[in-house]
Amino acid sequence: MIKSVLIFNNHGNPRLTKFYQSIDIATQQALIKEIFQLICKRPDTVCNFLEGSQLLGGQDTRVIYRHYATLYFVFVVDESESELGILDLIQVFVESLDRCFENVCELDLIFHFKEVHDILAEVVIGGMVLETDISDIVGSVQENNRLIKKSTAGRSPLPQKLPFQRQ
Amino acid sequence: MDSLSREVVKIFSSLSSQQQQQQQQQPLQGKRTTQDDAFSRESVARLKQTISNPNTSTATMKDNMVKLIYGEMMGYPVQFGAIYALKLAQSGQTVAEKRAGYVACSLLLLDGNELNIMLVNTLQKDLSSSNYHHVIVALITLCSMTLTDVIPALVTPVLQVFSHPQETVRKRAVIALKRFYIQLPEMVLPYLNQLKDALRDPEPSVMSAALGLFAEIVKDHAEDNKDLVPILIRILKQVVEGRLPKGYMYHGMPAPWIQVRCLHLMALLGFNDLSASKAMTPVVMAAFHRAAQGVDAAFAVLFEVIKTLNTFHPDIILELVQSTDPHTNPLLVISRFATSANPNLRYLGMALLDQVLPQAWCDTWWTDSLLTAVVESLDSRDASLQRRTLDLLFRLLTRENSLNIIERLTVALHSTEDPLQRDKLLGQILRGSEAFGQSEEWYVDSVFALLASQNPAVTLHAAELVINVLERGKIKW
Repeated sequence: MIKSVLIFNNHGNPRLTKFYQSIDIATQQALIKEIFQLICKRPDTVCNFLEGSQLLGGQDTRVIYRHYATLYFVFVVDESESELGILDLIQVFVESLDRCFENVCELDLIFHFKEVHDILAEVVIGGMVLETDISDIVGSVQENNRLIKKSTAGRSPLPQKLPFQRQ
Repeated sequence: MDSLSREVVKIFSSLSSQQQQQQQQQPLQGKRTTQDDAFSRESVARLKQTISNPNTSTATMKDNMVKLIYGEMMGYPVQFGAIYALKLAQSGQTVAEKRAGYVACSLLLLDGNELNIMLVNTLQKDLSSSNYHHVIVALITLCSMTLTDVIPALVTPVLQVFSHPQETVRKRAVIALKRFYIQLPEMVLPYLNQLKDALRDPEPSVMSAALGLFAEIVKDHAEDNKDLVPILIRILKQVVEGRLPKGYMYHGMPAPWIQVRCLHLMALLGFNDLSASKAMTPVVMAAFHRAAQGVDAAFAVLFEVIKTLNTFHPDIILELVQSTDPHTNPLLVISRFATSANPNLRYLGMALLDQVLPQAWCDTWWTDSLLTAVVESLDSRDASLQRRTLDLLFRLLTRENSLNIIERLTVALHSTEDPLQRDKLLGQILRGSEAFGQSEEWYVDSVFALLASQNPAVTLHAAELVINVLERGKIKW
């Protein structure tokens, strides 16, 4: 099971956090901090896995992350998940974001905070992988948007676009 | 730009200017102040005021919800918003408004809150709605439901939408039931037979979700669910033969996630059960052959194949390792992981070696290049890889190599800063020394040196363990 999905930037500021277990706010913040401090020290040349953090529930918990430009995408999972499966899932999630926002960058996650939550809900729900087919994911997000798009204005112009590349 | 965007722009501009300053300073220091400026206690107070205005439209309320969710992420006390979130979930005009209300509800409501009963009512109403988008919104909420006092009243309504004509509804219903099972297993177990229908669903996404549900159930009830074996064989066969829709191809692999899930379930069912293991081995090997040609996503499947075969009844793997042909001996694939230049594959290679049953270690697949890879990983700068390899080393302990390995573990014990890892290593060293020590004299010398080392992991408990061993006296050697 996926225990949580976190996105934070290179400074450790959270951009999206989703916990699939009930954890109180103080522990959540401590967790984000702990994971960030563990991950930010790791160069891009080492593997994308981390094991057991005390806060997270010890040895059975693993942290799987990918680093793109200014953002870290972090999945915290238990032992029943496949490491490589999750790495590919992060890629699917990011590619889906990229298709929905056309060249996604950190600003998109701030400006379209709710949409990012919705896209994640198409990929992972309640700690379970729901869909892995990118066109299906993007399709349902767009369908939802069509339902909403009556009163809301279009996307606001962004001051700067950062390229969002694979490391 | 609406009011929300303006607020966000303000948040962002203060963030970015602060960040530029930070980049010149220490990256981590002053982080808290940045966030205080970005989403301050004042903005929480302001939000508290605007949210309670009775004339607020549902659209504005939705924006308020987004702010609440953001505030929650930043760690502010926003519990006051729960009642408004609930109201919006009830009366939201559009799906998006309802959804924002529900997301905020699931963040802000805790077990035992008296508002939960209202949440139950709202969810029941949405689940029976004729608009399937409303059903989906309710199910999404239930999929991450952690409130145990809400679940019992919703099992029946979720089972009712279990056969909904929309595939997106069905797959979410399956996941909601999985969540219910994790929280309150006895509420779901009576409907097991009905749930098995989802494994035969014509839509792969529903079937895949059902595999996840059963992975959870079989973990606790493998014996009662042996009838899943033929169903799983059929599913995996179908996937491996590429009979799923095109969208499920991922970098040349047919539905790797479904394959991994199937294999995981098969491992649970084949454990300690020779006939089930025998029945499943051919299709597992078929998955192996299909993946052996692939790259990228194929490695996830290969990894799971090896893991599954080693979880099956030992006879299966013992027979397979007799061969020196890479086509029939799957363990030969481990060197593609362990000797890879890719750090992720290397890490998984060590994890795979750790999975192999001790009886199955033999010269047909265990080569010098693997040994070199293990030694190299042990000296790696990557702490994760090193940790994995140390675990493997402990597994490899025998009386012949115990001197070297225990010394290695001791070096690691003294160099690590992580308390969790220290405790684990100390436990391994003590157990290893007891079981595989060279002589009594050696045991006493090395353990006493360890206890005297002032390592923070050495506690009274560790000393008691040693005293126990000494009291029992001569046991093994």
